[in-house]
This record gives sequence, structure tokens and C-alpha cells, in this order.
Amino acid sequence: MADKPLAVKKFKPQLSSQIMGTIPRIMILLIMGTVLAITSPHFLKPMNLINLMAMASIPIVFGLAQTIVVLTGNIDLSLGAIFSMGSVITGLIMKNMEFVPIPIAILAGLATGALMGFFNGILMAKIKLPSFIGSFALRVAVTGIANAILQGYIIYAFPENFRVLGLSRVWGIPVPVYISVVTFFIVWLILNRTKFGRRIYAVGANSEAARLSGIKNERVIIMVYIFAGILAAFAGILQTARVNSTHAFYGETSLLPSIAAVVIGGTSMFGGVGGVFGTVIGAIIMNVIQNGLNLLGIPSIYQQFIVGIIILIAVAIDQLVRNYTTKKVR
Amino acid sequence: MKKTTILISLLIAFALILGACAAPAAEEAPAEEAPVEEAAEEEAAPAEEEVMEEETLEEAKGDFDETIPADAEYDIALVVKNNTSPFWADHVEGAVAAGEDLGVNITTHAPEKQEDINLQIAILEDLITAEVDCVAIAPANTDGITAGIVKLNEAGIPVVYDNTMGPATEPYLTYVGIDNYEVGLEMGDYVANLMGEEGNVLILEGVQGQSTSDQRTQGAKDAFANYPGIVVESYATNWDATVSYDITTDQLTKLGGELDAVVAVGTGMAEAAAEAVLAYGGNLEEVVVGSFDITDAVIEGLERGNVDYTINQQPFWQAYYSVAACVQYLNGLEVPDRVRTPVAFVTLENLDQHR
Repeated sequence: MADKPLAVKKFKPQLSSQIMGTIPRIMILLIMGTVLAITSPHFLKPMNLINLMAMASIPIVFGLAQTIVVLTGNIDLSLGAIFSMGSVITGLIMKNMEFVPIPIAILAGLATGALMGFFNGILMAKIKLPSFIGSFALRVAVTGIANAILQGYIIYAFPENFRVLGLSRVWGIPVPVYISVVTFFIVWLILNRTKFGRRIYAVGANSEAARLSGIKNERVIIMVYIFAGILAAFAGILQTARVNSTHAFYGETSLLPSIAAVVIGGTSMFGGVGGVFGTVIGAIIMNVIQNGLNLLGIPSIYQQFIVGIIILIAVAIDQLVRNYTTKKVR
Repeated sequence: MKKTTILISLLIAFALILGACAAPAAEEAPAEEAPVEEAAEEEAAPAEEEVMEEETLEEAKGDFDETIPADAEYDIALVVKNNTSPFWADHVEGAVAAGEDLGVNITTHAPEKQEDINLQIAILEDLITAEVDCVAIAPANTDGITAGIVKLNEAGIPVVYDNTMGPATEPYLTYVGIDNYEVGLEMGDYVANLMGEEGNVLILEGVQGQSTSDQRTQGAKDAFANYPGIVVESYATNWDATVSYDITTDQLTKLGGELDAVVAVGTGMAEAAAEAVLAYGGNLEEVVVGSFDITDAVIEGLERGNVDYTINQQPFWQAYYSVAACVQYLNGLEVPDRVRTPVAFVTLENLDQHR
């Protein structure tokens, strides 16, 4: 069974433990699916399942960003603002500078995300601000800048060539689904097959021990924030390609669900434990809940309550299983 | 053993909760009526006397005459919520135009930090020092502005609420603005008409509990309730484009594409809903899509044919009437305690008059 304490000692995420850890979550997902299949005649329609994949794909990319920060034992509350800022920069370039090729506009958005992430990294690693304070301050600043640039306007209607990223289908599957799968594999490889990935886990599990073993913690944290900034901006750009609009507060509503996806996915808020596969399941669970509530016609006023209860149950099951397996190891 | 027991009991609890959620959905159609009626009763007290028919523009203001010129060159101040958004820029324009037309001096003020209530109060203190004759203000927060209003009253300066109501507990001259509930009613009738009085409607609300969103939504629901052929579902979107997009997609799935109208009660949502209809493979010519307020994005949506109408609150006239109300009071005339400003339904045909 999963032996996380050992994994921590070795500074190495153990794959078996990651996969075992996701089993309760996959079960939750399957049960939710079964209940929805019984209660809603629409849930299992191929069209709905495809829509569901498209809906979940961007939260997955966004959730990956938060996961790598949380793995270091930090949190990034500015990711929603970076999500907005990346899409606003790309959007502005496409709208106002038509001579700029679309890939360059996208790169500019990603670079903005990297820059914001770098600022975050400096705040947390060099100035040593607690991450929820530093990233909250950056969130306010970034949103303020985006708002000052746009002056309250919404940017709407983008070139068809750009919207391919959010709208087109290949073999019947929407493009964002492929993009999220590829992004997942890249992040998974980095976390599990590179030194950088192992350092992320090591810093999160025990930052003092990591330092003693020769890891430059500050550099790891700065890199992690840059990486997360790029992913968040990418998610924002994809969302714009899908929905065809953006504005200064575009990513704000996505922030809390993304943190929920990380937590449901089993990544410890204290760092060092968990992984991106769990986040993928967590993001899918969040979207299945929302989709299910909409299909069942549950009034909005009860939806938040139900989502809250389900998150609680999911996290409680996870903790119970974790308590049990830890005991068993001992 | 123990683990299995705990797991199973939790999973059963989970299944029960989801199952319980499903129950109300089963009797969805009849249940639809009840909350609407209940809520309608609650609304009955604050709602205005008469239900507006196809009333737009000039008629809305009733007996109020905004053309009465000033007897003397009064100093009138307009305080808005911010100096960045186009909406408030239109207010400033309206006040300045009224100043020229009616022969008074207008100064306009906005907090440097957006929607900052303390800065608005500081502005009011400066205006007392400057001894202006009348203040028209859009409070950034209805109750938060109270301290400033008390001081204005102490200084004997009359106050007009422009667009947004201030504290009802303090004396004020009048409130000038739209009636969100009635706008909702108008919206419902307008859309019902466009969709041939039958079909499925999706209302995209803003934030539940926020008066603007709630009143517009309730008005629309009450209007649709008069059409037996129309089935309404309504969800909160937090004024968010992505949420609107996803809800519209789910609604299309649920109705098998038979969605006939999407009514947004705020700006920035309808365009996203139209994208969801397109992505679903729907035909926008068969779906009425309604937006709110006039922004560049909405105008582009109208021009592309994605959005069928939007509602112009005509902020220009809100400020104009506010100044006119000040002038009438200072002239010694009686001012109604509520001046309703007109809203206009904007479509591709009359778009040019509203840019």
C-alpha cells in the first residue's frame, strides 16, 4: 500500500502511491457518474460527455498550475489574475495589431504569465512573504493593471484561426481535450522524471532537509511560480479561444474551483504529497458536479451548497483512507 | 474491514444526497410555477403601481419635465463611481449637457480609486466647503455613503441619487434611475414577443442576492409567467462569461437543442451564450439572445447577428435628469421623490442612435 512517509524520506514521489491514492477518487467519480446516469437521461449522451471533456480540459490545465505550487507547500492566489492577464494581453494583440501572427500573440500572453510568476517567486523566495499574502497582493496588483488597461471594457470576437484552439474538433473530440492531455503529460514528466520535479517534492516535503541536501530552495520556488504562471496564462488563452471573450476579471471565478480540484485530487496543502493525476480527477469531479446539477435543473441557490457538501465528502473519504493506510504501514 | 464500512457508508450518504437533488427535478414543470408566484407576492409591495406596456424612452419619466431652465446660475456637482468606465463617462457627458441646456455650472467628480466609498465621502466634504447648491451622486455603496449624506444635510445641501439609491434613512431630494424590476418585466414581454410566445427560455442571472440582478430576473420571470407556452429556467452566473457559456451548453444538452431564448440580466454574458449555441451546432437565427447595457463587445455582438437586442439604460439621461431635478428644486418647484429614467431596447435597426 501507499507509504508516503517513506517516499518523503527518499525525496522521491512514488508512482505506485500516486496511483493508489487516486483510486478512492476514481471511485467517487464512477459513483457520481452512475447516479447521474440514473437520474438524468441526458448525462450519458455522447454529446454531453464530449462537452464535459471540453469543459473540464481548461480547469485541468489551470489546476496543474496550482498543483505544482501546492506541492512546494505554497499556494498561488494570483493564478486567477494571471489567467486573466495572459488572455487579455493575447487578446489585445490580436484585436489591435492584426499584423502580428497569432502564435506570437499567444507567446506574448505566456511570457506575461511567466513574468507575473517570476514576481511571485521573488516575493515568496527572496522576500520570504507567506505565499497566501504575497500572491494575494500580486493578484490585486495584476487585476488592477488589467483593469486599467481595459478600463472596464470586454474584448470580444477573435480571429477564427485562433479560435481553432478552443472550438475545433479532431475525430469528434474538441481540441482543448488534446491540449490538456498533452499538457498533463508534459507536467507529469517534469514532476516525475526530472531532477527539477524531484526537487519540487523535496522542498515541499521538508524544505530544511532539502536545503541541507544541497537543493537551492529559492531557485526551485521561483521556477515553480514561473512555471505555474505560464500554465495559468495558457489556460486563460485557451478559455478565450473557447468562449470568444476576455476581460480583467476573467479568471477570478476559476480560482477557487481550481484549488478545490487540487485538494479533491489529494495533493496535500502542506506540500510534498500528491500529484497531477489526482488534480485531473479532481477537476473532472468538479465539472461533473456542475454539469450534473445543471442537467438536473437544480436551482443556483442550492448548487453552491451541494458542491460544498460533495467536496467535503470527497476530502473526508480521502483523509479516512489515508489515515487507514498510514496506520496499516505502521 | 473498518475501512470498507466507512467507505460504504460515506458513499451511500453521497448517493443519497445526489439522489435527493434529483427528486425536485422530476417535478420540475409544476414546481416552476410555485416559486415564481411566491416571489411575485413578495415583490408586489415594492413594485410600481402599473405594469408598463411597450413603454420606452420619453414616456418613462411621466410628468417630470427636464427642460425647465434655471432661475439663477446654480453650482451643481455630479459625483460618480469611477472615472474609467464608459458607463460613468456617459453620466458626466449627460450632466454637462444639462448644465449647458438649463444654464447652470456643473462640476464632476469621481474617486481616484474605483468605487471607493471613503474617497466619495471625502469628495462630499470638499463640496460642502465649496458651498455648491446641489449634489447629484451615484453612491459606490448604498449604506456606506451615509456619513457623507448626513453632512450634506447638515450643510443644507440637497442631494439627488443618480442611478444608484443612497440610504433611505436620510432625507434626500429624489432618486433618478431605472426600475430594475420593471426593466425585467419589459425584457420578458419583449423576448416573449420575439419568440412567438412559446418555447424554452434560459435566464442568465448575475449574483443571487444582489438587488440589480434579483430585481431584473424577478421582473423577467413574472413577465414570462403570463405566457403559458413559455418554460423558464434561470441560473446564477456571477456575471461570468465562462459560467454563462457552460450553463448554456448544459441547457442545450438537456433540451436537445430546443432552446429558444437566452436572456442575460447583465453585460458580458449573452455574447458567451451565443458562442455556446454556435459551438453546439445551433442556429442563432432561431434563438433570441438578449444582452444588457451598451459596450463595444455588445455592439460587435449585435453587428455579427449573435446578439438580437440589448438594453440601454441611457446613463446620459440619468445624469441629465438628476441635474434637472436639482434645478427644479432650487427654482422652488416641487420634485417627485422618484424620477424614472427611460430604457431603450437596442437592435441592429436602431443601433446607430445609441452608439
